[in-house]
Amino acid sequence: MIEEILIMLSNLGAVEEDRAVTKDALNQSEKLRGKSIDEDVKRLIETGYVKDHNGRLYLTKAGLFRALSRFS
Amino acid sequence: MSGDLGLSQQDGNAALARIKIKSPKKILMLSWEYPPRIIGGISRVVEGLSKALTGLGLEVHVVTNDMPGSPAEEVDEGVRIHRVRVDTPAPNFHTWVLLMNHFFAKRVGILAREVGGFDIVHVHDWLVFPCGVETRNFTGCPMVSTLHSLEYKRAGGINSPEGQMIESFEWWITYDSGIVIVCSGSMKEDVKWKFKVPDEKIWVIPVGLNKRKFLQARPDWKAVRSKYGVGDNEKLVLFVGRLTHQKGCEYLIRAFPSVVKFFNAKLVIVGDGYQRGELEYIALTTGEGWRIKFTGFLSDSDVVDLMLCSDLMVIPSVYEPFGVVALEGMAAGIPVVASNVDGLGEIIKHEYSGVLVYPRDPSSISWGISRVLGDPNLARTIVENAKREVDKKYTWEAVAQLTLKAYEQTLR
Repeated sequence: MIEEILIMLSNLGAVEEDRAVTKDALNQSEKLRGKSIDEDVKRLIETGYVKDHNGRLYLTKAGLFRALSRFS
Repeated sequence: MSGDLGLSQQDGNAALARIKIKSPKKILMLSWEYPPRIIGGISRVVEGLSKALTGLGLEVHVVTNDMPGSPAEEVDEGVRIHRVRVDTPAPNFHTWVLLMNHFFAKRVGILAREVGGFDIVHVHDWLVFPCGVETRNFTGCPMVSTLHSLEYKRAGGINSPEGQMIESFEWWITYDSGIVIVCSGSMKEDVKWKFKVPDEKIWVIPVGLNKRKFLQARPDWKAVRSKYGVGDNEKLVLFVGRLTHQKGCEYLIRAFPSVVKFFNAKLVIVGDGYQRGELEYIALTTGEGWRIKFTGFLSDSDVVDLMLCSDLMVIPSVYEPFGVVALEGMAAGIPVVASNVDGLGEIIKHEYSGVLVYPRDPSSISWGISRVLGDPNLARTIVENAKREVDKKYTWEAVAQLTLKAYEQTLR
């Protein structure tokens, strides 16, 4: 689910602090609906792909590049 | 979407009149990535080509995606870069791509009025094709496209509705463009076979290389290697690329235990991608995981330093339409061991400018690495020949001259 979270953050435009989104917004997407994403989000923050800004999430540069790696 | 271009029929007629000119003056490049947004190879290709075309006296505009921290408008070595932000959230990637094209088209419409239209719109891959078509339809300038790779090979087949959509776009590009540019002979054959495109419509124009960054760098050999856990008496084997199935890194990792039976070596894997977790697991299961270092994405200058301080670079791709990383290794003066696939097989001559191995074959990769590490004379010869090949065949100036000819052909 890690990759789905990264791609969804990119789709939502959450690529910088002022565009960060809540976990609820992520959970509303088709692929993540009804799934528990807490553990994966925690891992993504620990590994530097995602940042948490006052409970809202956004992609770091490394997260953005990883999210889009399959499309180039 | 089309109304957002904001151009009248009069604008279109004026642009149509410009088609009669023989040599283009103003080029619009459309690309979803441009430095510092570097997802894959497209970014550097568009940058190198745009700068070289500017060097030939053309006015080049690049409309591309924004990147946090980068200016919306910038002029870099004469190239006018316009970064566009996709302001609307999308439910999935493919919808996001269409939205991106919508925002690109808005910017292009304003830009076309500001600069008086374009002589050519140059589309880079399916991701920006809808905006290319709109630009052509509403400004009247002909469209040239570069196909950088093909979905059925990139994804290992067309296995989803999304894949079907991408492949349809790729066919559409070949149908609707005046000229289709590809980077290698094998890519040309793929496009001809897959989309039934006439031979004369496809131009093979290789990718160039800017050697400056390798000539200017002065890395501290010992410090760079130590930073990645490689000792003075160990061989540094390097991989640089996206961690995706296409790049074949798993076969290199599986090959590595056979290499370290005979050589005291470490493998440094630079890059990131959706396959990273799987690759880290494979590395652990080899029993030699402690010799394999994953760095994640590195800055351009860090990658250059690493290349200059490595003993060998391996490119184990299962699909590589061109393989610009091979040119970088050759320019950096390190021997390159690469899969004999597609463009790599055209860039590298076996045991002359590199060593070619079988794709998806760890034992062949292990043989290739050992062949180079075990024969310093061969390694030296390969490096010398490779540098000559890069100087002779892969300059951006030559690539720009050929591209200009393709533009002129389109304008006839």
